[in-house]
Amino acid sequence: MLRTLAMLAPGQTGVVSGYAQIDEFAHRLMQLGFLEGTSLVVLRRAPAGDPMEVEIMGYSVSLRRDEAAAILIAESPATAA
Amino acid sequence: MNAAGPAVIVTLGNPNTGKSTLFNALTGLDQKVSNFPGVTVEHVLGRTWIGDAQVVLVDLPGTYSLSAHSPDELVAVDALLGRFNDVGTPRLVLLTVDATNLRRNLFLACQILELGVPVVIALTMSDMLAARGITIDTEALSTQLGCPVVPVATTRGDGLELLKATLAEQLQYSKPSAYLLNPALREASAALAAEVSTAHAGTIHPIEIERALLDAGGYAEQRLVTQLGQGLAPTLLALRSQLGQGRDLATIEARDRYGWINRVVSAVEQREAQPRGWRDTVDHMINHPLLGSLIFVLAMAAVFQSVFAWATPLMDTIDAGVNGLSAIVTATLPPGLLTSFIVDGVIAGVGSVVIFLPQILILFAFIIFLEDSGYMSRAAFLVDRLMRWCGLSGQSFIPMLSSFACAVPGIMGTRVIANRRDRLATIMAAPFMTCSARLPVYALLISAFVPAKTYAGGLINLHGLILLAFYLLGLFGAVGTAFLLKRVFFKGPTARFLMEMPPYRWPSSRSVLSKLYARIKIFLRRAGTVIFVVALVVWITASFPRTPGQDRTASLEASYLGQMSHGIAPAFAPLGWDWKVTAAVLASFPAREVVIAVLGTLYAVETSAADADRTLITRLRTATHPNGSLVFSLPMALGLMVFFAFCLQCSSTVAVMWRETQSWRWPLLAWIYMTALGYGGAFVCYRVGTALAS
Repeated sequence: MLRTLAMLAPGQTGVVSGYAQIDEFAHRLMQLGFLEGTSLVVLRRAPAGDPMEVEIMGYSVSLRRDEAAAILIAESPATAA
Repeated sequence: MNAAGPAVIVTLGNPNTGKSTLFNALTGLDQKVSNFPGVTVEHVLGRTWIGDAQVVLVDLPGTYSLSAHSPDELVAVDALLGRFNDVGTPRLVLLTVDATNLRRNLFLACQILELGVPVVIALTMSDMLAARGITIDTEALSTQLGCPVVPVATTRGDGLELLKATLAEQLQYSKPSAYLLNPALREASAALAAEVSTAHAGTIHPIEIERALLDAGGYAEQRLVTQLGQGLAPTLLALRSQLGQGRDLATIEARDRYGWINRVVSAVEQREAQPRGWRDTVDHMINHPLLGSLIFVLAMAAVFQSVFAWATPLMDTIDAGVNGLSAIVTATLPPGLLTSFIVDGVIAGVGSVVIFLPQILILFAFIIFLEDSGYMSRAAFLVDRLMRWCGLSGQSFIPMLSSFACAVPGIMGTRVIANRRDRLATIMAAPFMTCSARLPVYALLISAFVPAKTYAGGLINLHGLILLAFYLLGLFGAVGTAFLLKRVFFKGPTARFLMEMPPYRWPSSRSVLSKLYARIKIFLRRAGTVIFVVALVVWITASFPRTPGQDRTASLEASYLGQMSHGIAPAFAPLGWDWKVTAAVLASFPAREVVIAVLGTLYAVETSAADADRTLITRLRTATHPNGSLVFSLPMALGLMVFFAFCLQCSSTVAVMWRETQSWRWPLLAWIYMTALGYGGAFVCYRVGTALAS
């Protein structure tokens, strides 16, 4: 199964490896810096576990679980210290 | 110099870069600035002197990219191409770039620099760099980008003079940036633009074609296909695959631009790893699942409690002032029509609305503070799951929350919602939110008819709790309406949520005060015009025809207003209303807060000179039906409040709904639906309440 951003827990870091599907939303994310090779860290999740806040390129952005599921994360789980 | 008039400078930038604050600092124009993405939805014009030339500055909505998937997002491109008559063709672009967030901000910069319009970059938030351990070589950045870069710290005023001097210089000698990332794309776009422009006798700009090619299925493409016919679609498709050589063109664009950005940034920026200090601690607390929700509820409760508790002394002062003024006028002028007009018509009418100024001031101060500090985004983050349950997204939360102040800016704020169905549902739901005009009505009826009890050693008072309950009722009406529309009438996927979480900032007091001033001005202007006119009309219809010799109650009943309301009153009798309440509610359909002014006038007209000093509250408490029973029982007063909670008594909201939906269907539907709900709610509340009380 593919690893996606939606699977990362708060505190975990990851590196973007691509998209499940290239569509308008993927383009929007790319313009915000979610590009292959860019690292990110999950800061936290809202009370119901959704949406999540992610830090990328030094700024924070929040997205929903199903939106985060569109972003693929490279297969080499690196857990933050 | 531009022969047609003053030179036009367009301000553009990412949301949350301090663009509107800079715009205000340059033009001195009073405009809404906010820390939330997408609040500025209309372009705002301002005039200023740059050097010895007058220029027009245009503030456009904040955007992350030029790619457009809704009409709202194509505004930037259209303005830059000179498509707006009131803007004209811009001579310069003033681009705000957040110094603390260089990479993401440079994406838009990179797109703008290719447009052939001269650019000046204001590097905002540069006073925050040191605290974040960032150093930026501004000269090197300017060389890399091929345009002037001026560091500014707008709230402190740093760099503004240099920025103005740079703008003046660029207006004289500017040359467009020669930088271009994908020449093949530009060439193909220019060729196609020339071809379709001759064929269709229109002016299609290469940039439009470029955006249509890059954003497949986007708004630029949709608009071109509508303009030029379906034949264009296959042409675009063929060009796309030719230019991308099988790869996705927009992906190539993003990769190329960030590749370029990374080279630029690594040459000009140095970052030291640095703990973010209090911001991290605050963030952890506010966003903690449990603690954060608790803070959210406490923050909202504190707002409603303080609206009541803090405002009381100020309101008593205003009340005393109004009564004193009436007493002075009554004592000085001879009794007669003029005195009655000034005391009962003007002072009673306008005074009874102005008295709520302190409460509105406190509520607005809270809302503005929460917006400017960045907390609003956190609140949207917290409630998104909840909003999704009724089919909306956190994006709708901003317009809904603004509607606590007034539905008009709230409905205008729905332009940021790209999904049309979400937008319509939000527009229909927004007028249910308890706006500031409902607050005086609630405040009056609560303090008149709800017992003043306190709990927990005076920390919580019943008045505050009932007020909170009515705010929740409005919220429930809004959520229920959205649910009904989204789950029953327009089924479909929910809009995206993707939202930036701006860093916490301590709002500058100058910015909060200037916004507060702007909102108070609007409230007072309404009190001074609409409410004054309605108070006047009510006084006239209540005072004529003159019936000398009769007592005041009888002459009031014989007046035009008395006759009219008597005619309609049977329709509202099931709600427990007498003809005076009916008259006041009817008069308040153009603007709901008018009801207080009208009640003030009606009950002032009725009272004899002996008890003229009694407040409206005591007059309402003692008002009786012809059979001697009290008009305002607790169930009737609560029912009246329910009526005001639901009913669409606001001509401005109706007008803005019409403007935003471009049809009479939606405002008409909303008006009928909300009035029916108001009547039904008031009926149930009065009947059930009366049955329980007996």
